[in-house]
Amino acid sequence: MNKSNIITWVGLVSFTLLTFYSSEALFTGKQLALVLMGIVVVKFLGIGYQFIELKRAHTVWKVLFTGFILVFGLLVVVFA
Amino acid sequence: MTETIEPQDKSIYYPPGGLLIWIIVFLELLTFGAFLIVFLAYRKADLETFTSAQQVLNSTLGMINTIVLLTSGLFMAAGLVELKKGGIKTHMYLGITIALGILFMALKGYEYYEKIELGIGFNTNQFFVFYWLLTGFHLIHVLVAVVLVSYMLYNIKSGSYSSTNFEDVETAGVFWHMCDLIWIFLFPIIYLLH
Repeated sequence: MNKSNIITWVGLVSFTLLTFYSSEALFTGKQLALVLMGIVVVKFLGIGYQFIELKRAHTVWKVLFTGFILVFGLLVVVFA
Repeated sequence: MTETIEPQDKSIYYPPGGLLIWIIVFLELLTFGAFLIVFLAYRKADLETFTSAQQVLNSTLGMINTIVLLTSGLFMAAGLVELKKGGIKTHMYLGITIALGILFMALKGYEYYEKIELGIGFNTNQFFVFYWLLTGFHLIHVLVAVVLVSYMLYNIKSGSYSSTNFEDVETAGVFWHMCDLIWIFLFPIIYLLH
């Protein structure tokens, strides 16, 4: 199995656990939304660029993909 | 492991899996995204109801399901890499992907059973309208992904796809990963944000 995919998976699972424990004990409200969405952005890009292999796609697709999650993450923090 | 680089890789018209699936991916992301922003607006207007309703959710089960989906994504990616290089583990990797998709649906089914046992339905309150709709639509997507990848696996076994003819499998793979992408922002917003 692809070593960089395994490393990405370990990162994704670690970030998932961090998400869970951040919400359980560390933060609330706007602060929590910022932490959660920060982690979501990293995970989203990890899946897109590594698992879907968007890293080898045209720049336009990378910009659209990254742009979507950044705008969405920002909106969530604003509305939370 | 070396990754297969196709000549059309950098073309704007050929993103991984093809142009059509990416139109679908962006439409789905925008739909779920807009739905979640509306959810947050309703939540802000009635924070007390939403916070108390959220406490009924089983966030541990949600976290386990997140890990199940992420792991299925790893095996989907591995299966495609194996197919592209003509490896022998494609069947095994895609089989594990499908099994993990079924496990996700089973855990989600258990979660729904828990709610129904507690008398929680579609009309319990505004929070649960969003909960059933958002998680239900996502579950339907996972079901479609399981059917798609199962069909691809059947065709790979019958020799219809190979290291030189894998575009449809790549497209199904993008659909599978789309289910991951939706879940990784749906889960923290519905289950964890308080």
